[in-house]
Amino acid sequence: MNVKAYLKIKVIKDGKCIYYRRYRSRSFVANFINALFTNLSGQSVTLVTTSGSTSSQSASQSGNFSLLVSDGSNNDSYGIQIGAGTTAPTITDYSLSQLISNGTSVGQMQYGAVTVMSPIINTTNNTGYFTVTRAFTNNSGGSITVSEVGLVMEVFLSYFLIIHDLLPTPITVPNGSTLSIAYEIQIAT
Amino acid sequence: MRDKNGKVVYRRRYKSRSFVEGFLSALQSAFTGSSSISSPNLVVGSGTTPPKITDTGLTNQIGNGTSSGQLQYGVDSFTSPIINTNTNTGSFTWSKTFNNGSGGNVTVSEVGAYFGSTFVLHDLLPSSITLLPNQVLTVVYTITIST
Repeated sequence: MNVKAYLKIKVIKDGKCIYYRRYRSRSFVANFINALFTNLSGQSVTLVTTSGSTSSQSASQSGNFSLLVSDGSNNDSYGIQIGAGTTAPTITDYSLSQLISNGTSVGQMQYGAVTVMSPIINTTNNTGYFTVTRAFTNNSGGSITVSEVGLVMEVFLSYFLIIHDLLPTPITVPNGSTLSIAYEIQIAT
Repeated sequence: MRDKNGKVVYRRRYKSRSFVEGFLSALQSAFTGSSSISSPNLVVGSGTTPPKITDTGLTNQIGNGTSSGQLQYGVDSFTSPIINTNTNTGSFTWSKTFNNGSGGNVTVSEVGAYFGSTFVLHDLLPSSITLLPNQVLTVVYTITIST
């Protein structure tokens, strides 16, 4: 199937972009396909929460189960998450290896709100995409290294990892700067 | 495709290439929590126009029934996801049968799918398939992810 995800990473310091990379996101994990399955089939599946517990979930075919990722600010429970782990993703991953939590203490970053933009359609080349974006501000007093990124959905107040990417190169985010992460979900016809 | 005795008389596997605008909108809505992905409905047609991202339906959908040119639509069925931890892949299948009870030949050249009233997928078959009377076409989409 022709759905692709890209990861766009930007670091802004003093209003200037000091780092930008765009990678192909390669790591949808089992929770994603299980969630898609129960949405379409109405049959129950077992998902694994970010805390590692199993959770039986079932959507009706008439629909009552979204893939909510648009979290608010100062909350690291779901939406885009960042981490400091370096373990290669596997399909059974249910959490980042080492989450960087929300806050201003040492090793923490302030999580902004998640924005899910409306799709943009290009009829000339028959492609389309939308982006999921979140900013992370480093007010910890020191530099923080980010090496993994994930996307977590909320279902009935439980949280499930659906994408997990290890960055090809870790990013060092200086104190006082902002890291912006965007997942771009693309289709082509 | 199976004949009236259940014998497989035709089988092909293609890569599906054509999610359309509606799929992206459905996924975006699910991410914002404003709706879910639900009410799946596979459809077949006889159109031959190449799919475009803005398509909102098949070019020429074959109707459900036993009249001339129609096919009897089965139920959308799913197999549970299979997760392969050796290859880090996962997949499930989505299928539907279409029985030719029309009394004449019916040619299928395009396949598509809806989530509710939203058209999400449109594939033109590389080769058209002609169903003789009492033959049954089964369309299977395999949804796959890899990590």
